[in-house]
Amino acid sequence: MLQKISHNQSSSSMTLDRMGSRYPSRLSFSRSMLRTMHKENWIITRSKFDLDKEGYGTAIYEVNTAKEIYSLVCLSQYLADNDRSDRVIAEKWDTAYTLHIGKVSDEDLSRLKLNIPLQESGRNSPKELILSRANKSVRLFNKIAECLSEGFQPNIKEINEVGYLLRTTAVYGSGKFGLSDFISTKKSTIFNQPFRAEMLAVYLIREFSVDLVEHVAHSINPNKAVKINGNIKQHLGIGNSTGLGMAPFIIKHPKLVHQWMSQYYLAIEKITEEEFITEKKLNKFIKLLKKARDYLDEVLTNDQYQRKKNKESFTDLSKVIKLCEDFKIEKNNNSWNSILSFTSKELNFDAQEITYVQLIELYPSIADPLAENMSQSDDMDLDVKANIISLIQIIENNYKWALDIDFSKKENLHLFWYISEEKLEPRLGERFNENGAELEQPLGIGKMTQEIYNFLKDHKETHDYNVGKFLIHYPQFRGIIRRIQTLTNYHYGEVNDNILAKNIMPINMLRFKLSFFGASRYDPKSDRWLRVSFFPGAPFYSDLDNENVENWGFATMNSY
Amino acid sequence: MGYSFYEIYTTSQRAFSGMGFPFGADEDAAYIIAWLELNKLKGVDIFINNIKQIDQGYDGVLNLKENSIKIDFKKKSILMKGSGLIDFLQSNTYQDNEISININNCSNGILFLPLLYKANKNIRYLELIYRDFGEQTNIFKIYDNKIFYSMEENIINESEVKITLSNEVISDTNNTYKEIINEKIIQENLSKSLKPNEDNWDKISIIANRTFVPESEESRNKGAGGGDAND
Repeated sequence: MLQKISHNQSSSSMTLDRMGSRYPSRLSFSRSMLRTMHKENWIITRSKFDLDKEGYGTAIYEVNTAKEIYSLVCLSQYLADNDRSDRVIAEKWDTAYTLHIGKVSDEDLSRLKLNIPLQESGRNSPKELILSRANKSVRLFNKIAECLSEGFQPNIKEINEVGYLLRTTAVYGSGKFGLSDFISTKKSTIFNQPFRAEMLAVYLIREFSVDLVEHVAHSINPNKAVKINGNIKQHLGIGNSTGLGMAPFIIKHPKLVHQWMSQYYLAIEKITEEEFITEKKLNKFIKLLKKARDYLDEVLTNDQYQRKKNKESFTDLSKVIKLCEDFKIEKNNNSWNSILSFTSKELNFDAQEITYVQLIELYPSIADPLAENMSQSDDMDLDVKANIISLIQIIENNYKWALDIDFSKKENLHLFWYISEEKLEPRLGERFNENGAELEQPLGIGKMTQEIYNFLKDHKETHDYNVGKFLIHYPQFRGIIRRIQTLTNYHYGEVNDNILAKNIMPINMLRFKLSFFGASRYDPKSDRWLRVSFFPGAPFYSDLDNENVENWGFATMNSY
Repeated sequence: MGYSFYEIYTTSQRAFSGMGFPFGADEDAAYIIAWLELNKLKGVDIFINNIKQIDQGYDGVLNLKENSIKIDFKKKSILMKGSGLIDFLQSNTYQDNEISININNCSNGILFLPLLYKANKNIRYLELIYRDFGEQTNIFKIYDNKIFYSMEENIINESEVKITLSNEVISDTNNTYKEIINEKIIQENLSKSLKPNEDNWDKISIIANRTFVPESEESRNKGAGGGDAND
């Protein structure tokens, strides 16, 4: 997959195993957002910080960009311990947020104070880009507040055990609950890349989390309280609990997924085709691989599967580090392929991905422009003049993985995806054990593709029809034909696995998306949800400079 | 109350699915409704007026031959048959420079407008003429991603629709058409909340609820926050 990307190679990148082995890179949205913030000299000011002694009240962070101002409104309230839940059906949170276009007027603030704490039950306007909420880490928040109030610094090891003071449980955008539609946001604001506004909001929530704990510490003991030291502070990220809500996104936005993957592989392709290994680059590469290996040694999870993967990746990274250390450089004669061909043969998927993302790290002039072209229209279009024979050929060429599945076996139809009545969130049910399969969401692309293929094979009389004619006779196939035709040249668009099968790991789809967001510290809690951190190791706004804006990937306790 | 385009589309799509529209047809119908609502053409109200015709009665099949110049919709909704018809006409326009079709027993002709606007990506010029009731005939010309409108009296029969697709623009020599929709107007509309009739919106939301499933205990326990919720 690393040189000229053939169709067969690209499809192997989109199996669930591979998708569940991905890591953040320079192309990830948190990275490109922070890079843009620094490059365009966005100025962040805390225009309001009206919190009581216990940290309850309102704060506003204004982001002044060349085009306009954006304001993160932070609302903090008392929450009883037994009301604190990461479940999407929770109705109260420690803190709630919105990212608002422009300065916040008194009138807007009154409206937002009424609606934002309600989250899904409230109403937003097109002036709001993002809606989010976060709960405190029970373990860490009070401990750090008390520690700082006594004039002491917390132990970075304790911070590493949790990783964050606040943990978001949803970050909504793109027209949800009345928010600005992305098709409007993209044209009318600076947020023309997917999830850039979301990443800015999360970054500002991280700033608020530290301001909040320092404020509470100062309120407890104004005479002794200290602020948290820079190196310890930098290790803090923002936690995030993520469940199945993310998975259908991957299926429903195939052109966007293709764009992300093709930009990622284009970066690697350009590096391997245009760049040679130099001593300087090789040394930096070894350093980056060792940093990633240290991260794997340090990152914590109770999940046995993830621990095993991390351990194997640690071992495999040692192999490629050894290879690089022994590597004899011939001037202008060593393509990176000589190292990457070793990794693709000898390393597990996770270690391979780490090798790729650290390679990309070496060439910002190649990667960074690609990170500014991650958007893609979701429009899907029928090619109505194409004939049915060509449709059959497309299926045979692009969907072999789907045609090979035996859907007569129950285990290949075990799961169904549905929308939950409680909070309108995607969920998984067991087809033969639970009710509701008749309301299944059309996400089983493999099954639907095989159905249309078998139908076409059985209806030879349609083979000289064009698609327009076929569909006036068989309109029940509009959705799947439109998808198949649209994705003819979007080879990274489809998950090349049966997501209805009993043995799938839905969490792999979550990790795929989260890697493009730039999340790290993967901590699976079941096969359907996990915790991650955003921005751990990233510089805070006041410390942001040319060097640290880019060197925070795979941060460890010794990185600062 | 204000809603986003995304919300109007998503809830409509769920409602169409709940009424028995298959995958793909539900998306097309939802696009029609959301696009009309976005452009202040009362998509939600028209949806409500069509419910009796379409609920659990999906019929998207069209008996049409390549050279047909007439079709009888038999009072079946454009929400069910419109997308297929426009696709079929497009698939023939590649061969012919111009194609026209008259549709009888067809009400709410405005429902074709979003489909024709979208088809302007491939077809240079499109025209929609319809007369729902009374003497007023509505005429829309679509080219260059713009929609122009005029009305006249009694050009066609009541409940009749005429659609023309052409690869040449048929210009408005009398300058009687008003430009009512273009990309700029659509962007302006997107920057504001959409405000459908609340009662009608509530009815659509209730239909959309048919597609939801009560969460199982298994799902609940394995879902985000299940088990160890706090740390």
